[in-house]
Amino acid sequence: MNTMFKEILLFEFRYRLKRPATYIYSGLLFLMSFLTMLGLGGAFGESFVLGDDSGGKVLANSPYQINWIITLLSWYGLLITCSMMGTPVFRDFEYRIHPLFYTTPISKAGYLFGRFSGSFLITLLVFMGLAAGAFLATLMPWVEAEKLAPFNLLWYLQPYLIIVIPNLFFTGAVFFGLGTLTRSGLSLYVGGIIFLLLYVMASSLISDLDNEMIASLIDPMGSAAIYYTQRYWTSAERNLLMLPFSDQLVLNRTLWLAISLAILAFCYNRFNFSFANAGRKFFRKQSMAHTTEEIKLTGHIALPSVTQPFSFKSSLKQYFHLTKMEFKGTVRSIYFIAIVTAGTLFVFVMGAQLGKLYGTTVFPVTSAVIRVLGGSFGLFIFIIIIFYSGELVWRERDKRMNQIYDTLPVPNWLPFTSKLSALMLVQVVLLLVVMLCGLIVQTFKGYYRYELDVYFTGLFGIRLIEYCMLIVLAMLVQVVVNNKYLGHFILVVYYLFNIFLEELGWEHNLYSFNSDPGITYSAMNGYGHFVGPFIVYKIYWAAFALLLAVITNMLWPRGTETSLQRRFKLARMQLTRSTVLIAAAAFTIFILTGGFIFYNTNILNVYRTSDQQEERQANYEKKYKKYDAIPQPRITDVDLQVDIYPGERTFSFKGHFWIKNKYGKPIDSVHLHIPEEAEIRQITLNQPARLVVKDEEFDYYIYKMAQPMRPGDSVRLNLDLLYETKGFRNSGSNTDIVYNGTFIKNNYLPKIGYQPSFELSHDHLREKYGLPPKPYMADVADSAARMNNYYSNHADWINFNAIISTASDQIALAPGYLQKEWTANGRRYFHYKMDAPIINFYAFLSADYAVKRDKWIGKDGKEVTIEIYYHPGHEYNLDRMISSVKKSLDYFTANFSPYPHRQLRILEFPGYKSIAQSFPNTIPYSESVGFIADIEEDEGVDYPFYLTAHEVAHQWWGQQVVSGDVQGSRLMSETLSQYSALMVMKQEYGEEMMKKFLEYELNLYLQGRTGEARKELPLYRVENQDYIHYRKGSLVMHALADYLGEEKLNRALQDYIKDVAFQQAPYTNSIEFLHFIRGVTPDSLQYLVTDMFERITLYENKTIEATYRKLENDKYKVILIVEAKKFYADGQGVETEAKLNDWIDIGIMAREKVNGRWKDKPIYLEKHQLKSGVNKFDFIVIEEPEKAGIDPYHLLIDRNPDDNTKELRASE
Amino acid sequence: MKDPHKTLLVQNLSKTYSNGTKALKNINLTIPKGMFGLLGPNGAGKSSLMRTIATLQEPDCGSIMLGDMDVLQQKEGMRRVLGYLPQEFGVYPNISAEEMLGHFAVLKGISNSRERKEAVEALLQQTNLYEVRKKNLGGYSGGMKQRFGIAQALLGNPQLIIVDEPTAGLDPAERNRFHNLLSEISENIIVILSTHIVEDVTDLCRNFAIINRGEVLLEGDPLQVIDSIDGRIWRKFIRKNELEEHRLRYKVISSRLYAGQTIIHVYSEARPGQDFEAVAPVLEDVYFSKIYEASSLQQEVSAMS
Repeated sequence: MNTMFKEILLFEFRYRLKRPATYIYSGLLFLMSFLTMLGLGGAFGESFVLGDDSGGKVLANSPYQINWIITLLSWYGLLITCSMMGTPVFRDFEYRIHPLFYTTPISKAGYLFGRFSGSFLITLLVFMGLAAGAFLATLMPWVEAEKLAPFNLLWYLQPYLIIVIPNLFFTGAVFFGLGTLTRSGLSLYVGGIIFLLLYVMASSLISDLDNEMIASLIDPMGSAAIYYTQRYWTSAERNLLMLPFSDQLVLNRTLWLAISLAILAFCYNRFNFSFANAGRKFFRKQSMAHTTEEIKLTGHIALPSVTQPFSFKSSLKQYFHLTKMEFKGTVRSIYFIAIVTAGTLFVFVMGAQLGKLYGTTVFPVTSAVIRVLGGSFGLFIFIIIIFYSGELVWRERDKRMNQIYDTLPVPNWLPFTSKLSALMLVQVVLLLVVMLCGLIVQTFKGYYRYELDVYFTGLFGIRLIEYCMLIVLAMLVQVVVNNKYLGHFILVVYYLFNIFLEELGWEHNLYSFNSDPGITYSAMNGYGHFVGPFIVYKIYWAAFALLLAVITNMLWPRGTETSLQRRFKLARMQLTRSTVLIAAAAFTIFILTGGFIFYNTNILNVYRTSDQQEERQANYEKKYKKYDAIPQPRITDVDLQVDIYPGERTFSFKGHFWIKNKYGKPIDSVHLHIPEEAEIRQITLNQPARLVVKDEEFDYYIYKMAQPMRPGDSVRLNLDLLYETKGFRNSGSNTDIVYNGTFIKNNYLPKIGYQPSFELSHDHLREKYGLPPKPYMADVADSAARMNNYYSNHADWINFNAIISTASDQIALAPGYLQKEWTANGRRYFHYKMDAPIINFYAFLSADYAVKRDKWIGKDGKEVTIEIYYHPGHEYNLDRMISSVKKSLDYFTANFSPYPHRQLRILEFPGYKSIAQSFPNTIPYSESVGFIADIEEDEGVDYPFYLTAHEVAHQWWGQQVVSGDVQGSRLMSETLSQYSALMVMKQEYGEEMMKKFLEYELNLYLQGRTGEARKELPLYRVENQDYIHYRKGSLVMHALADYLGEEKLNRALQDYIKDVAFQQAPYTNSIEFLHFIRGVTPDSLQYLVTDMFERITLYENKTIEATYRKLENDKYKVILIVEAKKFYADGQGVETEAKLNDWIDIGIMAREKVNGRWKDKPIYLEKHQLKSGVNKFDFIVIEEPEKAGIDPYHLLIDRNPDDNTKELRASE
Repeated sequence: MKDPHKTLLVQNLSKTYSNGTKALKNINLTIPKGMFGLLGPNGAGKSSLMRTIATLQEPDCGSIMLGDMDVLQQKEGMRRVLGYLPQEFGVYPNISAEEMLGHFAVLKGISNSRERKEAVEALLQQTNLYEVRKKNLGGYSGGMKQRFGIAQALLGNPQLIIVDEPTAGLDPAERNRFHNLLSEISENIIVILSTHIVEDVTDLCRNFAIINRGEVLLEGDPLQVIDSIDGRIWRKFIRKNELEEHRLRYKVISSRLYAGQTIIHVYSEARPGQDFEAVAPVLEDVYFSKIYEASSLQQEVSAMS
């Protein structure tokens, strides 16, 4: 048996070594890995990172990256495994050689396992291509040196030991079993695809599991286990550490190894090693019982006489007939039904997750349903197109009916066009399935506003077109390469190639097949202005697709000689008049629309690739940096007439700024930056001045005044700018000015002085253009930078007055109080004026609004009008928002300072951006956040409430307290708004909701820091880092409120506001802020302020043992052993353990039933001063304890919060 | 409308495949109405010739005329009058014979649905498939499948039917029935039957050709060609070990076993020896003598070069 096994193994191995497929597969994996590594190494421009998050300073050949390259690409290799591992036994049957084998004296075990092992080894060899490709790529000259770590062989080998070999063993066993027992090529192939699909589906399900251990275990490929093991690794760890044998990994690998062995055993058991082996095809029809037929001679044969009117009309009839036949053949095939069923299940799963944010869902509005369901079903559609384009092209040949078909008297265009049409019809059916799923999801979620028109345009107007083009391409590929599997592969590569296309600087939609400038739906604006360009682009590509179709048709294989060379020869014979006419028409349309597109994108508008854009930024800096920070007058008054023409997507500004010399010396010239889209109709100063620099390339203008402005002088800057939307752009269509829902910010107005914000910020780009590196933000203590606030470098506090006109059916808004409203020339006019100075941050909005009004009355009797301007139909959460505004005003006026305005308005704008922003007494709020949230009581976080509170808080933090433009400025705007909202939410919803919210925040913080692209900074130096100023900020402020007490903390904030609100330059910074915090902090907790704000601090607290004993006096003695550790991390995530002598909560919980739910109830909760390492406690409590531990409410930042507490164990 | 005297004229047809195989070498054939047998060993080029006539592949040179239609230029025209049964073909397993035949009928241009129905029904009757017309083709036996194949070839009004090795793998009864069908059909149109079984030709064909290694060795009426070698075929019983010696001495065109002894047929103008007896030649003798001639000719050629 042993020698037999070896013999068979070696035979298999040698046989495979001679097969070209082995080398093709290996080469493919090599190439994919090679390209991926090049991409990681920055060879295609901006580099990216593989794994669970993008960004981060992870080196291309770090163990983390190598591991992901090999793991992820080995999934793509699944289809290779399928064909390598599924065939060894099946092959004998296919070649009908099995009787020869099965009559030799070899054993079943020797045969089966010999074949399996031989194939396994050769497949492993094929997969070695991944490591080879990755390694070779690191030697290439295009890889940036700073992206590489020194070579380490183990980093390449370890993924094989832990991931690839076990996975290959498992998938190999599955496919080997499938191939051996079904003995059908198609079952095998479809089995592979279904396996892949199931896996993709399962992984999205797994990622939603709360239980991480189960999620890690049930993932057969182990990626969940890897993910959870490395989830919070910082860049430094990812660059250095290999995958450890974590519990999750070891258990996962063991489990699936056992399952693989079981599969092999099953296969062995079921395999019938005999000549009469019939196999077990799924779906195989039983052969008809052999009926012995009587042979009767019919005498004379009368061939039925028929008429065959060969004409175009009859060809058309044949076309419809064939299309129907091909269509039915496709949708009736069991594999189609299997893929669609899998897809439908997947879609329902995705539908259930629709739009979750902080665990709350949004209403399943049709546009979101289409986006989510259509998007997730898209993968299945892509697979169906790839798979069935091959099946249809090969159908006759696969069934060996091609010789009959090819001699039928049908025109050459018939087979191709009917198959093409059939596959397109299939897409219609699939999209109907998507639509049906969507309707079901909506109905189940209790949303009955179906918006069928949105379904039709979204699915059949947009997606169907895209799929049809893809079908043409897929058919062309299949026909040209004339090898089904190679065709499939090329199409997958095409998809990958599309991703790289942009990296290569090929950004123009004119040469990216099937592309368009994008089309986005908004409830307020519909598809709006996107429709026109979309149609033009689709005509352009449809004409191209028609050309492809003509070529495909000419190359269609008819007859028995199908080499491409032959077909090219034959194609010449097919250049009939109609073919030439169609091709010429398609070509003409292609050229005409292409020209039209070029005219729009490159002549009417400016087209720049990202490289050109970068270069322009670099040159701007090189040319005008010399003017940086020269004294320039600052805006003090804004007085504008803004005319908005939504239908034409045009707007204009007329009016003036007053600008003032606030410096101690004269200013002789005014430098202006005017956006290039503006048509300058007038820019003048009310003093004699000369335009000395008019640089339209960089939009830089310098006016030299005849009389320099003396210190304290003001000048009036008159302006008249017109913004016309001309044609359409290649990408980035302007969504600020739209048919309904215009939202124009003051960045369309001239800026004064050189603008450092236009400079390139990434150091690697700066280096590329020969610019010195520059700090991302000025140092927290930079006193020069503190002369500006972070809104603008050319204004402090301004007086604001504006008249806005818009179309007669819209309401126009700007910060300020409405002075007057009137109608003239069929347009509506609104005059707004602010009664006190505001920061230089304002916007103009116009839409067809409905308005909801309410008011808030303060304790001192002050009245504030609350208004929500919303899109009719979006009434769902208006009451929550209003309630949030009122409660926020309550809390903030009581704890911080008075509200400086008499009104507060929330304005809805289209969902092109998913943000809310706070302008003085005016809060634009995207339709996609909050307005359509579906809040169920006791489920998740009420985020419209929270978000509204956050934005209202900005009326204090950001509008009253304005930081200098230095590091840490976001602490005073975002972190404090986050804290304020948290406190309002606590009052409304209680601790429980807070806990849920903070759990999300902790996870987002820990994940965010792993993706840090530069370096993580302590909170007081935070730059533009969401995960720090929002996420960590919430955690830190919440803990601080607990340690110091909410009241004490609020008193510090109140004092701080008193000190800095509405201040002039120099503006405040976080050092000043911390001074106030330290002022209310006892000496014993000063360390905490340092750790939380000035350092990056992480705890590793856990409960080692927790037991209790019931005492005779009916009390309970609890013994608790906990471990506490504290680490300081640097900006790259390198940690050093710190000495711990900290006050940390020790808690004991009982359980109580509240409203039918079990909840924890603290029976002991005190802060104790702990030392590093093990600490031991004993307590006597009066209730039966349930859980106990260290920091049970997760005040401190800890990567494993779950081990903080433990269920108590009773001891004797 | 139809020309009753249409003949198929193959002239100077040659074909070399891309792998270097010379499949057809200057083939010339005149094929009149009736059944025409194309006889030759496996790999002789029969299928290549038939596929070329059936518009499935292009020759390197030569011409094929059906009446006054240039087949190579007017493939569409050829396909309209052609019924073709390839040597090997499959079926869609999940579709019934009736449905499938109806489908072919549409593709053959029978657009009138009543006519189509009648034609399908009649053909199913003729091919004795009527009883199983609703059954899926996947369950058909080899013979049933073959009959289905001929049914589809007969659809429309074919003037030329090409059947490539149609009886391979059929049992004698099936084969018999198939022959009857073919001979009935061939009364009015051209039927080309390719086969490597000599009796098929003897039984069915009024004209035939022998083709070997891409060349036509003989073309004619079976009876006439048999006549032409009358008196030149001799038979002898020998022992097995004497075969080699006889091969060297005589033109042994065939040998077979009979009751433990070996019978050889020898081609000779006069009686080659005492123990030879004259036999009345059959077509098989013609066939083997032609193959023998061709192969010895080739040996000489290769010996010379």
